[in-house]
Amino acid sequence: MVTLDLLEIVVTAFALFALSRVMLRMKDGKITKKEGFFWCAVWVLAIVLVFVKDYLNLLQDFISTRRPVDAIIYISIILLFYLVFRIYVKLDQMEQDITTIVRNRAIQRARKK
Amino acid sequence: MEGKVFIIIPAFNEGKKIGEVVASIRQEGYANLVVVDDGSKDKTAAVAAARGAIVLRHMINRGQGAALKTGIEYALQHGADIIVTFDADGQHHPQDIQHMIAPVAQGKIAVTLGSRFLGHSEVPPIKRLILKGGILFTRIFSSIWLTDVHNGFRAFSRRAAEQIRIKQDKMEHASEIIEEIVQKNIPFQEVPVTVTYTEYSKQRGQSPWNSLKIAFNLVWRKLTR
Repeated sequence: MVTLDLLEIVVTAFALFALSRVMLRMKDGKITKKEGFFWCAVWVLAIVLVFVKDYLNLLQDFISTRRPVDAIIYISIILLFYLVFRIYVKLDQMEQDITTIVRNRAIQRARKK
Repeated sequence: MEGKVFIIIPAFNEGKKIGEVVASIRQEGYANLVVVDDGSKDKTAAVAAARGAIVLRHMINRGQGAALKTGIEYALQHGADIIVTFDADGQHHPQDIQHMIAPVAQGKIAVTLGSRFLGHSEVPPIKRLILKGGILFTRIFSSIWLTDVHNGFRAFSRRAAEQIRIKQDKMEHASEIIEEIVQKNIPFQEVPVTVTYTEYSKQRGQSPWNSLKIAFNLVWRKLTR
C-alpha cells in the first residue's frame, strides 16, 4: 500500500494538471509534438519519482535532503531557472526578428516613394 | 574628397525639435539626410519630411540602436561613402560635421567618435558623473580608454559601417559600437565636438536609472548571446 504525505499529493495533483494542459496545447496545435513530448516526459517523470521512492531515496542521499519530495522541489527550482533562461533567450531572438521585419518594411516603403 | 555623405538621425517623438535640426544640417550643405522615425506618436516624420529629409518610418518603437542600424543599412544601399550619426534633440552642432568627416574622408582612419569632453561643452554635474562611470565601464568591458562614451555623434567610412554589427536595439548600441571597433581593430579617432544642453535635451536624455539598466543589459547580453 502506497502512502503519500500532503506535499506528495500536491506534487502529483499538480503534475497531472500540468500534463492535461500539455495534452490540450498539443491537441490545439499551440505547441509542437516535439515540445509536447518533452513536457509530457517531464511531468510523467515527476509523478514516477513521487511513487518510486527507492530512486528518490538515492537522490535524497545524494543531495542530502530530509524528505524525498524535497529533492524534487530542489531539482524543479533548478529546472525553472534553466527554463526562464531559455525563455529569455528565445524572447530576445523574437525581439531581434521583430526589429528586422520593422527595418525591412521601413526601407522598402522608402524605396517605393 | 568627401564622397557621398549620409547623415543619419534616429528620432523618437522629436516633433518639436527635428525640423530645426534638419534645417540646420541642410544649411551646412548636406543633402542626404535620413531621419529614422522610430515609431513616434507625434509629427516627427511629417515635420522631417517637410524640411526635406528622407524619412524611414519604423511602424513600432524599436529603440535607438535599431533606428541607427536601419538608417545605416539604407545609406549603404544608396551608395554612401561616409555615414554620420547625429542626435535629433538639437544638442549637436552641424558645424562639427565637417571636423568629424575630414579624417575619414582623408582615409587616415575609418571611424571618428565625437567627444564632448575634448570640446567646449558645459556638461551638467550629474550627467558628467554618469558619463565618467560609462567611461570606466567601457574601460573594464572593452579594454579601451575613451574621453567620452554614449555620444551619438560619429562618422564611419563605408567599410567600417559594413564591418560594425549593431545587434543591440536599445541604448546599449553605443557601447556595442565601441566594442566592435576594438574587436575588429578598426582605426578610429576621437574628435572634439560641442554638446549644448538645453532644457529640452536634458529632458530627453538618459536618467541615472536608465544608465544602470544599460549597464545591466550589457552584462546580461554578454552572458546570454
